[in-house]
Amino acid sequence: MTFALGQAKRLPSGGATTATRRALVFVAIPLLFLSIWELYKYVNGVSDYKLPHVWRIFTYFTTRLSNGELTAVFLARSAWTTALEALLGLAVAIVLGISLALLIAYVPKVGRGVLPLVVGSQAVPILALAPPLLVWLGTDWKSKAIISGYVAFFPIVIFAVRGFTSTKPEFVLLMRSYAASPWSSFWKIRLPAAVPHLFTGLRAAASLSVVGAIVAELPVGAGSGIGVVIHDAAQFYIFNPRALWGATIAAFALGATFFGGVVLCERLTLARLGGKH
Amino acid sequence: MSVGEPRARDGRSATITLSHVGKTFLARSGATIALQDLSLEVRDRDFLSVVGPSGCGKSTLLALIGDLGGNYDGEIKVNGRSPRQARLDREYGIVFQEAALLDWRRVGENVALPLEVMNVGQGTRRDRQELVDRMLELVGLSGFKKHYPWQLSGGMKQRVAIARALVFEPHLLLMDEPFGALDEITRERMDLELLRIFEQTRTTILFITHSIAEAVFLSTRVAVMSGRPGRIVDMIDIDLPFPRLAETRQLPEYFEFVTRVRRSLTGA
Repeated sequence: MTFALGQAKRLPSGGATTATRRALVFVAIPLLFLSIWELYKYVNGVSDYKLPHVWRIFTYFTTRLSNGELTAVFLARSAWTTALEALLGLAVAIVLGISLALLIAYVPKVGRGVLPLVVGSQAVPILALAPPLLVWLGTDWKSKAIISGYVAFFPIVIFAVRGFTSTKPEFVLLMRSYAASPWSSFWKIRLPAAVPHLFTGLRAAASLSVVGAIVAELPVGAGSGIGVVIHDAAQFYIFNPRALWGATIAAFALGATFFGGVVLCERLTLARLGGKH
Repeated sequence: MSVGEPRARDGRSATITLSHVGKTFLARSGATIALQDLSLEVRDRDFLSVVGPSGCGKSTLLALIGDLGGNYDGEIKVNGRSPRQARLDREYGIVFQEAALLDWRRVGENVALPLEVMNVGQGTRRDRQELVDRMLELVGLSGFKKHYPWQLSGGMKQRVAIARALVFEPHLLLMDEPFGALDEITRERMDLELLRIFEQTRTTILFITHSIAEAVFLSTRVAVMSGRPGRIVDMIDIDLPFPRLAETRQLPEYFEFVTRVRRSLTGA
């Protein structure tokens, strides 16, 4: 009886409480993470030049660089450069990934030969490939977009292949009974049915494209971008550890923004496609 | 294709003839004979049900007629043409056990799918909409045009599937256990609906079922199949008067036909 009452009490309190609870989780989990950081530092007596205090990292954003620029503005500017490269990289990944997926799904004879190359590409460390690519293509945005696309395209291929090949057999028979052209079968059945899978791949690719763009910036030396900041800060970590952690937070924020952008596009698209997938 | 008045037959009749049809499935473990020496005639404006136990090859039969099942032996003619040609000429509408509605399209858009694919009512969006509206009215779903499939019950989904199969006014309706997944009460209501649609459109219907009662209630003729290998063992004319109503199920003649079909099935 008490149990039933408790249930009844809990049910109607839905709306506002759930929203607050969800917001609390967003605050609580990072706080927990930062507490563990500080606890670890305290228990093991890690010195500040190895691992700075959490609050010291956050106040770093309000400091000024030697040229007088606010650090937060400098990092935002660097992140912006990287964001543009990653966005182009994501576009490369989408075009490359979808094209390969279509080949694998629709021309299996060729696709069987392509798939091992796609899988193998993931075993090659991008750090080994980036320098020759930069020498070959130059150090401008083109090479960075290609390196970023190379890092990000894999999940798009895998999920798009699954999407294009998992059409319900009834749908296929239905289109056959209409004597539908392959073209109209693709646009009306296969593509819309694949959309949820495509977005799953895109979510993974979004963060990877940022990682790819940052890696592409590392060997350049000159120029701007989060990768350049990370490269410089890493060399002087012992003197100024906060610089590297600040750049790391900027990279994290950029990756999260990309991921959030994809999730938003996904919501809007799925809402247009019937709101229930 | 005309819009407005109910379809006027253009002189062609929808008939299917199968002579000595055989179908063998080859697998690594060996060959399975699904159909053997099967002959059958579906006449124009027949409501012909094929009834038989699970796995007797009824669905295979329907797939061959609709050119959805690959190679076969013997001869099949749909309106004097090969099943392949009949399919390319868009002679038949099809309804499966699963409604197979596209989740991302509203009810009206689902019904319009074949019109889009076949380019019927091209350029005249309103003609297309009129056809869709007329079909939704026929299946009693006028108020649900803007709903999504997941908002409908199983019976309603199957009505949408029927509307979609009939919207381009095919000569023939192929139905593969369309109400097999529905509960008994919904199923009986759908049977009545289908009879009304049959009388209204006079489309020739080939109906696959494993329910004896359903086959008798709906059909002008019932073909009884036995399995392994699948063949037609009996052909029974159901001389029950039209229109058939819920009360028809209480007529002594109805029970006699049910008994007859059952005897054929059990081989007694």
